[in-house]
Amino acid sequence: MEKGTVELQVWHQKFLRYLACEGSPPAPGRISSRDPLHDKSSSHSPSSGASQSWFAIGIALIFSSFLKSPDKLNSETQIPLPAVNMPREAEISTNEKQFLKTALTENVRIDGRLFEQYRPLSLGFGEEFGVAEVELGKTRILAKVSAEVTVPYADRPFDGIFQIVTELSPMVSPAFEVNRPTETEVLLSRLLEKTVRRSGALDTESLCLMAGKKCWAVRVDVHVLSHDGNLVDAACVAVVAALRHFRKPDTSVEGEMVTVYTAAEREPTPLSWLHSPYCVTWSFYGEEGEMALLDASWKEEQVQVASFTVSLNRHGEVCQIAKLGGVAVDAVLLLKCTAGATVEVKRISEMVDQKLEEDAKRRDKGGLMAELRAENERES
Amino acid sequence: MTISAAPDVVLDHLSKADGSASYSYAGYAVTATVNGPIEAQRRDEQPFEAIVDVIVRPAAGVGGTRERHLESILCSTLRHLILLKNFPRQLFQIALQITSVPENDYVNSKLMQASSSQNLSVLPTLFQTAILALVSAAVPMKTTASATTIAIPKDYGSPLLNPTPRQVQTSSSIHVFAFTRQGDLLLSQSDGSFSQDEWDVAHDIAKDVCMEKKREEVDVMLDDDESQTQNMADLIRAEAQMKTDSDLHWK
Repeated sequence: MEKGTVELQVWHQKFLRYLACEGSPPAPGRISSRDPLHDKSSSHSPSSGASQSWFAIGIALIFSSFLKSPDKLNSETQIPLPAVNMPREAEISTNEKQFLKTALTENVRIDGRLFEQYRPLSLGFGEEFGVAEVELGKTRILAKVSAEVTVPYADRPFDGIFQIVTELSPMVSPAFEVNRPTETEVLLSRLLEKTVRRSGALDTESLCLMAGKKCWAVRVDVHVLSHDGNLVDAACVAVVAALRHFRKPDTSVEGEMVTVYTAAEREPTPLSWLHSPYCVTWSFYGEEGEMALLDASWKEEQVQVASFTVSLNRHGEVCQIAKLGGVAVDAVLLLKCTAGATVEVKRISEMVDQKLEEDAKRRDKGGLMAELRAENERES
Repeated sequence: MTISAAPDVVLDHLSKADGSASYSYAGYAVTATVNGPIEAQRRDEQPFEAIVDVIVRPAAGVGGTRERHLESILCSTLRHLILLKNFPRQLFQIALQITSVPENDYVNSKLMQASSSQNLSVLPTLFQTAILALVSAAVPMKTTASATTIAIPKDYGSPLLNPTPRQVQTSSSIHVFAFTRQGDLLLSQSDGSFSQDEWDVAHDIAKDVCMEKKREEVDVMLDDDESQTQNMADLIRAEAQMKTDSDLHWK
């Protein structure tokens, strides 16, 4: 009986090794741990114990070979080693880092900006509603809003669904892989979520069409086209502008019937927007983070010792503060940064308002918009 | 919605990538970046030629079967154009981001709606943008190529070039063709029911649009001034010429 087991076990080993040779690339880690030769070479294990353990492994293998279908076994042995990473992003050299740091101690930024100076920010809208493209220096972000009617979440029957989706594609850099979120991406989506969604910028209750049955699901897709630092601020402007630009199809409810009108039937209506929060990011440099830079470029981000993102609206109401890791920064400096951010947010807010107004004027060719509009005037 | 008559091309507008292009025509807009030749992953690399990786991302929602289908069509088409044998064990990565799709004002579209006719009508724009981005990245190619869509209406009317979503909806079949500059057929995808004659007619119209005109023909066309249809080969040639001019400006 025992001899039979050993024979089966040996056969199993051979089978596994055969599979390993067939599969490309092989999984040496898995196979070698079951290799009897490998175990015999370890001298300090007593022979009786070894034979016992082999017996146990043999039994386990027989059971596993009965339980698993052959193709499952095959696929398991063919699992490649931890995937070789895509070409990494070219890192900034030590010389360049040193140059950047030394320049900062002499109050000079590599692109010649002042410490509290933003790069030129521009905002454009597409032909359709709900598309905004933001350019912040060489950083480019496109946000697109879409809406469809779905069933609300069971625990929130009176609320619509609002989602912000960020995915960094290989378009940004070949270092990003499809369906494999990186840290940058996770932080970006978390910050946008906290700034726009959790601050209640969009009134989700207004998205409800029929309690517990029908609601709008509004989705913002943030596409990063080019990454040259400060993704968060640029993405936030894009998301807010796109949402304010967006028009969802008009609806009417009669009893249990919800009618969604097409754009040809009724003029689409804007979302119920409560306030516009914007992010401002500061980066800190020096031993104790005593130098604060606004709107760091990608190179500057590589040498920062800490960063601090604060989200405010134009009234100066703080929506969120995030300082994730890095060196401890003096509290007074953080307060100063927040005060500086208030000024910056007012400027951004004015710019977005103005661009939205210009776009509305451009669309309002015959001056008929006021009559076509379905919603009432609202004090903001 | 107003649809711009002339195609709009921007080259080299994204700083990080090796090559980039934005192209919009007939309501469709696509942004593309090309990186390459770069190091291929060990598990993917081919010992004798470069691999081409095409990534298509929709404007809204997550990519699905539709995008994978478009990727496979584009990948197999572009493989014929790029000189892959010159770059063994390398990778050309082409990322295509659809930024705008014309809306049909008469239908409320679902986010994840994927009818096959909609799939095809975005294909020429994707293809054209990929070619422009490859030109921008200075990737060695055998030739340039261009693509177009033709719809055959249900009422046996004349075939429509670059149909709107509404025209696609009311047509019996749509066809996508890609031709090289010399007029060799590179890609042919059809959807709907059609006869051999209809396909032939669509093929001839597409070839006329995509193939480079001879010089004397261009002069004649300029004279009568009624050529509203943009010749795609000329467009790509003009863009390539502008790019080489600006690149060699220092000489």
